[in-house]
Amino acid sequence: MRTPTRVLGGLLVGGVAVLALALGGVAGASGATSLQLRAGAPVTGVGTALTAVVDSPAGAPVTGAVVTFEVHVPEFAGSPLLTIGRATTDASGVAAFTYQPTWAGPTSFVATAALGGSTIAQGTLTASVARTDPFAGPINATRTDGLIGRWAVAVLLALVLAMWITLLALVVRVQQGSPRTTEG
Amino acid sequence: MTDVIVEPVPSEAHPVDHELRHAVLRPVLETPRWWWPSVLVLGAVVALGIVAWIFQLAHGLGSAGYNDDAFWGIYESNLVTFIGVSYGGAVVSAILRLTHQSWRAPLTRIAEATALVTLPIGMIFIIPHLGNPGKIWELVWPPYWNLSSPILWDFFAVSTYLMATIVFFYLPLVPDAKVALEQLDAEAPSTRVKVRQTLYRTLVGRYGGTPTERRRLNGSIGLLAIMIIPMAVSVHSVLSFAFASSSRAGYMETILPVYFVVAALYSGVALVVISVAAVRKLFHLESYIASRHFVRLGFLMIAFGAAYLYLTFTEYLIDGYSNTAGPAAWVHQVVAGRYWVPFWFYFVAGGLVPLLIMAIKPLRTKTGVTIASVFVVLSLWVKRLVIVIPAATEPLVRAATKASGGVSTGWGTYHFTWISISITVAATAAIFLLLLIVFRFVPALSVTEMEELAHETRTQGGRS
Repeated sequence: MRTPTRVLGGLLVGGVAVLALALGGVAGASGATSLQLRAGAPVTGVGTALTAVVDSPAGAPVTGAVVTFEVHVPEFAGSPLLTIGRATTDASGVAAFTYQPTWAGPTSFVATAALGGSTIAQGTLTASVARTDPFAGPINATRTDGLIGRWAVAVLLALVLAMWITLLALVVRVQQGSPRTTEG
Repeated sequence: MTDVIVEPVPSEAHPVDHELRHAVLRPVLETPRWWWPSVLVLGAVVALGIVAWIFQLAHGLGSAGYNDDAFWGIYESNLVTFIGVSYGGAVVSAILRLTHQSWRAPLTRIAEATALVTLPIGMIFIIPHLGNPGKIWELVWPPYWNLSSPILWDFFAVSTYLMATIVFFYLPLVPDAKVALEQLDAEAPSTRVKVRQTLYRTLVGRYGGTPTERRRLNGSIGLLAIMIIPMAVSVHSVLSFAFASSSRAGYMETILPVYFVVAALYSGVALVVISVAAVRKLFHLESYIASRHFVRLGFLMIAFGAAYLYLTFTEYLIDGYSNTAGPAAWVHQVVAGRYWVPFWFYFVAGGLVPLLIMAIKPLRTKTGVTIASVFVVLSLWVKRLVIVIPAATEPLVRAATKASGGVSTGWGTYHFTWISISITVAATAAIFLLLLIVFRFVPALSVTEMEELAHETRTQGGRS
């Protein structure tokens, strides 16, 4: 008895699942390619990981789509969009980009997926970001706070100072004249 | 070391050229009839510029044609142009001094004065350019210094160069101030005489004109002439860093520093020619400034002009040939797009016309060279606009709110307004106003230098 019941139950569950999948497929087929934009936890000094997941109308991951990440710039009138980076979706339909802003706080993003030059999906997100210095690190020794940079700044400032001293010395040298007793 | 750069001092006192002294000192001692009307007219134009600036302070940078899509415009072009022309005056004088060109004598004072007055006017453009003048404080006050910013190094370079320009104007003036002081002692006392006596005494200090002092003076001038050339090169190349260190096509060019320097020399020599022509006419110095002075300056000018044309060709060729999206689009906009009129105006009026005038012998006169110089100054100002504005209007930020549905990638637009035009015209008038004022107090020609060189030419059989 138990076996036929199990079989019937299994058939019922399987049928419902197939029906659900079929309905889902129909629903998906009637929609558009989707792009879900997500942001990871912001890490000061590292950045904020942005992830765009691009799925086809059938729910399958879209591979090879170019996702352009943009950020709203509230400092400009109308808060226009500034492109901050691009990434290509992998086999899972995921395109990842780490945003390294020089400010912290809530920021609005737009991600646009394109395939073959045509836009296929767009997603928006407002997330909090952490302040990051994209140029920080030991390899950038030429920065003014790097080793070479510090020396360069010191040398350049010394050069400027030397020029000012030389210029003033030239004026004083001419202005002071020479003792009249020795000259005709 | 100074022996190398010291010019020879005549072993005996040079003879005094009374006619020259009279001609040169007359405008200092007597007010020419045209002087006050000219000062009033030029002063009114400068006042209009100040009114326009106050209007801008009240209504914002938008009133001067600036917007989000054109964040740099006329003021930045003016800053580069005015500082550039000052560079020409100083370097021309320095080169002629170092190469000991005897024909330089009537030109150096005018060239140095032109450098002296144009540089501060160029520097002033940073104030309307910033919008809020309070921001100047953040540039000059050390706790606010951003040593990574090219703008701060611009400030160091330009202020040091300003100091050098003042000293370069002052040192050759010392013996002339002594001559003028002696001349004033014979004049009847009046307020005008007293003001000038006080000024000249301050300038002269304890300088007595002895051979040792003269040698020391010439050594100092020679050393300064050497210093001022690399200093001027650094000023204008550092000025270009503000453009070249950005990530905009048209700005991010490694050729820009040398391009700026050559443009400065080209337009600077042209402004010296215009100043020399004006001073010669107004102060009746026709006997001392001849056609040959204009023609020699004209040759110097077109040498720089040819180099500038070549650099323009190089820049556009490489950017266009690479066919990368940003630079190629920028070249297209400038040469064949929305900026083709100003670009080709520069090419014809600032490149070809001066070359033709100097190439055709009947045109190679003082009038011809002066006309060519006016073309050069005007067209090089236009060229600076072509450098500044197209790249500034390049659409790097997508204008989501535009009527085009939020995906506009169109180029921005900069408009001239009466505010920005008035301030620009006022600054140009200020150059001539300051020159008129300077030459009311100091001789327009270097009297002692002319006497010394004339004496040297006579005794050594040199050419003038």
